[in-house]
Amino acid sequence: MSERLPERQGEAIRRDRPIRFRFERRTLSAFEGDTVGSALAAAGVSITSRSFKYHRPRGLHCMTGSCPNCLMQIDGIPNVRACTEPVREGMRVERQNAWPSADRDVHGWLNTFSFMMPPGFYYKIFQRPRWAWPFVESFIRSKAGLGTVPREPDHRRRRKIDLHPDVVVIGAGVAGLAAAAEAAGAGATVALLEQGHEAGGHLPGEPDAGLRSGLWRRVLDSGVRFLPNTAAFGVFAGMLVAAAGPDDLFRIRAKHVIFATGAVEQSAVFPGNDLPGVMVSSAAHLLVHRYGVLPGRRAVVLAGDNIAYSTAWALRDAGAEVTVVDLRSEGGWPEGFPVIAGSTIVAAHGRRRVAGVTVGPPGSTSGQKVRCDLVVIAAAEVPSTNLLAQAGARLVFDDARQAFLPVQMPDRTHAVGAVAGARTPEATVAQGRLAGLEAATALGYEIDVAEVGKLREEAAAVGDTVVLPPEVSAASGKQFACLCMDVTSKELKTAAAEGFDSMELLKRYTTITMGPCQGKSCMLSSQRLCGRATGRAFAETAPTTARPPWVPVEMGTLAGTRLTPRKQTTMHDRHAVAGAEFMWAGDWRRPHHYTTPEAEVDAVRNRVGLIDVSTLGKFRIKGPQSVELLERLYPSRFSDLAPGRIRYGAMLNDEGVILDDGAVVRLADDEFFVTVTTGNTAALERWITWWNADWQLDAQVLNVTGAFGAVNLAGPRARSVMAALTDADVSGEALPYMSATRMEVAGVPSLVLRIGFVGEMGYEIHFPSTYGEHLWDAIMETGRDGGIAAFGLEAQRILRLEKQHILVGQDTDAESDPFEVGLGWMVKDDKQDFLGMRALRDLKVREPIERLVGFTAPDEWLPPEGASVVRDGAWVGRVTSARRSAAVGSVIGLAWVPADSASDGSTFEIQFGGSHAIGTVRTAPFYDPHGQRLRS
Amino acid sequence: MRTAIRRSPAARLSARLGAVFVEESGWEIPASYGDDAAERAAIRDRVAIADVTARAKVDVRGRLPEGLPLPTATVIARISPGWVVVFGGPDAETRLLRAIEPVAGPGAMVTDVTHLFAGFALAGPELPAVLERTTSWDPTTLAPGEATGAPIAEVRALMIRRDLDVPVLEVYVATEFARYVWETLSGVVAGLGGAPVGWQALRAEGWT
Repeated sequence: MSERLPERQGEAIRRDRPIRFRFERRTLSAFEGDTVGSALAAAGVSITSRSFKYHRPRGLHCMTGSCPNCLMQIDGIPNVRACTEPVREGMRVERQNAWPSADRDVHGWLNTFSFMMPPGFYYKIFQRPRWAWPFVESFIRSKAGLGTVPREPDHRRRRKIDLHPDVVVIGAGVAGLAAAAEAAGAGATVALLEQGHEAGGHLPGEPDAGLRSGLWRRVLDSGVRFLPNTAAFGVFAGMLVAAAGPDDLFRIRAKHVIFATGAVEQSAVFPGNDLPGVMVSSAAHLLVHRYGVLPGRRAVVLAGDNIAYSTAWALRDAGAEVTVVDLRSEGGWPEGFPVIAGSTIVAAHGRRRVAGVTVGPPGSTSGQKVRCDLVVIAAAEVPSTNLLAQAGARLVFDDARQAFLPVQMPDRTHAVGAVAGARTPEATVAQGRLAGLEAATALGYEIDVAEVGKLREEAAAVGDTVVLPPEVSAASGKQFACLCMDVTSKELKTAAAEGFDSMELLKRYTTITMGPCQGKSCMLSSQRLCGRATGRAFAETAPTTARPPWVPVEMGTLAGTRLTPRKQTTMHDRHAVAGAEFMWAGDWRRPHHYTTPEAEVDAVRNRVGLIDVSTLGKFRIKGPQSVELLERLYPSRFSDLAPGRIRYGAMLNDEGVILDDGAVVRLADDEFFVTVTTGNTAALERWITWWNADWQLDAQVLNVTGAFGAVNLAGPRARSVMAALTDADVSGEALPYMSATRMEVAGVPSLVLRIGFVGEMGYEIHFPSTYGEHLWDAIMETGRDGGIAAFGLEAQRILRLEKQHILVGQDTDAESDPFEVGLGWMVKDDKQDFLGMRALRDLKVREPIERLVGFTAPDEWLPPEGASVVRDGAWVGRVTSARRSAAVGSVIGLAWVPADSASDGSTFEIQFGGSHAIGTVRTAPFYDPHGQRLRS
Repeated sequence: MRTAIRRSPAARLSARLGAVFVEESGWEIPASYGDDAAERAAIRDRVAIADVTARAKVDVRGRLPEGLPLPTATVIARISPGWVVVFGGPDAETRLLRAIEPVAGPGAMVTDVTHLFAGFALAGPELPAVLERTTSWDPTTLAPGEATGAPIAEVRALMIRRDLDVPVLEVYVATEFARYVWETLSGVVAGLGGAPVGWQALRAEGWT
């Protein structure tokens, strides 16, 4: 059983700062610096979880976050890796995937019936009777999964942070520290990422922390930006490194990337290899040295090289009785322990914790029995090449190191340390320093060139040849290749025999390497067993394709801070003060209404109203060929438009479909002011500038939308209000309908258009936008005696509908041409050319199949926009706009109807849900059909 | 009738943070936030944000010759070979137009865009930290005195680097985004221990 040791030199825990936390129904003690895993080990907790499928008891295995054995629910968050999660005062820790407890899990029966649940069993069993499948599926789903998702929303504030250092170093172990210190020392800006909460990593064979602390001091002194608790999870196009911190998503675009991602120790495959008490050497080292915990009193260490003996010494010095099982037959191993040479672990025994092992030569089914409560595998590691592979590195099998190592790195990237195959502290440090210097040189910083040759020699030091444990034990019993998904060696063999005979197929069928560890702790066993099952050597069985994320990333981190750009006019505060209810109109915030839409409509029709129309898209088009540009963009003619006059224009695409509409104002011979609809401005800017560039016309186009605020002053009293605001003549004679002029309004230089969307006499005033509040105040104050009222979008929609003015995009769609919507009059197809001309010539000679028409309907039911127009039960059209009109005394609207139902007085049926009404076609505007008020 | 006065679209938001406005050349500009010493300290030691929308701005599409005789305190931002934006003090746009239009060349378009852009100056040693949180653009690619277009807070912006003793970046966005960008940037500035500052403090630190 594990227990806390007396205080030791170099430990990371603070024994003067005790912490208490809840572990299920108990309160346990720990120290600041402990992780949940180390604290539980100190308290003698052996079972940290139950396995995913078979609910087998599992214990601490790696202490580096690389395996699934310690996933726990901590403070309500599921699947937290307890081995690396710092313990906090008052924390609530619960084990997962067990009931009623991990110590006594009733679902342990699943292990007994595991023979019924090989990989893919759900495809084979439970197919008959078919009616049972929904129940079976529901049962399987209830047993699957790990942890309980919290119901409470997560409102944590997260950020996205973009970094552009000269060099990013991924991994703050010894190699990473060396690389960062060297590059920063030469003058480069360096970001150093470390997924753990402190730097230093784990270096087998270097239990003394002096090397690490020396490098750490150099890093601090050279201004490296250290980002702890920040794990790189992906490398994307352009060498973009993505990393997740506790609350931040980092997007790092560095000029050089140094991968110091280390290696992950691998277990061995033998019966009982998943028992609590079986762990890899990093776990033993970290528990003893960093956390002051003895993981077991009687230890068996499986060694494949001399480095493994550092683990044996560490355990012995901490008070354990140690036996070494050395895979090598011949000498050279250090003294001080009983060594069983030329042997491996044939099987481990125990129920809720390992109690002993059988040791014998590889291939044996029996052997010497050794009692123990701790088994440490110190015989194999796999370089963490996933991120390198994502970056495009080429991996090739290295016989001496028995691993796939990077041999060809993409430009501006480097691999150093254990990930590059370094097996000694000297080689690890040298590789790191060399990469730092190479990056700094490539960036133009000066370095000490004499160092480089020496470092190259040290970096190439090979270290001991690695002897791997057998691929599998010859003894009988469950031997786990994948701890995450409970996949055994026998299941892999069966799957290969069924035809899934490559790593990629085996992965998809058995789910091996697809669990929480993503292959970190099982890639070696998977590859070797796949090779064994398919008759291939380990060297011929490459790892599976590397894809992000390499480590788990919270969805909230990926979402990040929600920056939602919004547009507001310069009069926004005035609307807010006036009590406006705002709505989204595209990405603008606009007033929907101030009082009620009906009252606002009444004000415009009978007195005077004011609306903020600053959101209209506006373009300044100037140049010797500005007329030619407009002639080609629009089907209308503008060459005969005199300066000071306005013409309505609808832009078409090259299929003759209506894109947008607005006003074209000629300011001078070679200058125009063009308005377009609010929501289409950006698209039209691209459209207009693209065509201008394509045609290479001598005309400049500038989007001046934000430069000009705009208001529409409309109603029978609009003229008198306007007259009080300016010295200019605003009479009907001086400023007739569809004309424009410059004047000062309330002291503000403005462009005034006699134009109207709402069907009343009105002025559209465009002015430098920063005068917005002043002008709004001046107009409202001047119009107060005349009963002026601000009106919002809803009132505007009612007013324009009464005039049957269309809204492009609402009343039209991606197939609407001008003939169908009653705008054929504006098409001047005798022009030389314009966008859509060929299509329109063809459309002109054909009868439209459908038309957009106005209609009235009884007041009892207001059809929603989108309601169906039906004939004989079949859909034949739709309602695009509909409102109740006080002026008309009924429901009014616009709808697409078959062409043979489009004549004045025709009727058609409207349906939506269970409601229906009869619409009567009105081809003329419902209100002021001859436009007298508008033109007055 | 009141005299026509121009205001930044973000003026009301600045007022809520304590801005004290003064009239200058037909504009209400935020002169200070009530503590000149603290504002100058924010510029020197942390990071500050100031609303500089009142600056005159003239957009030139076409070629602008070098060495034009322009009013003092004019800043020329050459975004690309065919696009220049010229910045001046409040109400300088008429003078700038008069100086530029005759020499801009045939086919060029010179437009007063004073009201098209809202502007914010970010100043202080923590300026890089503000940019890390608000843009994917690499600020190290912009040398002092240079200008470029880049996104900030997910909207398009013109950036002009105008270092004093501390890094200074002027950010110009379309007027309609002014309130949103001010809120976003000032929130980030505040989160880093910085503060909004007025023209008084900015000018005292050498800004023109």
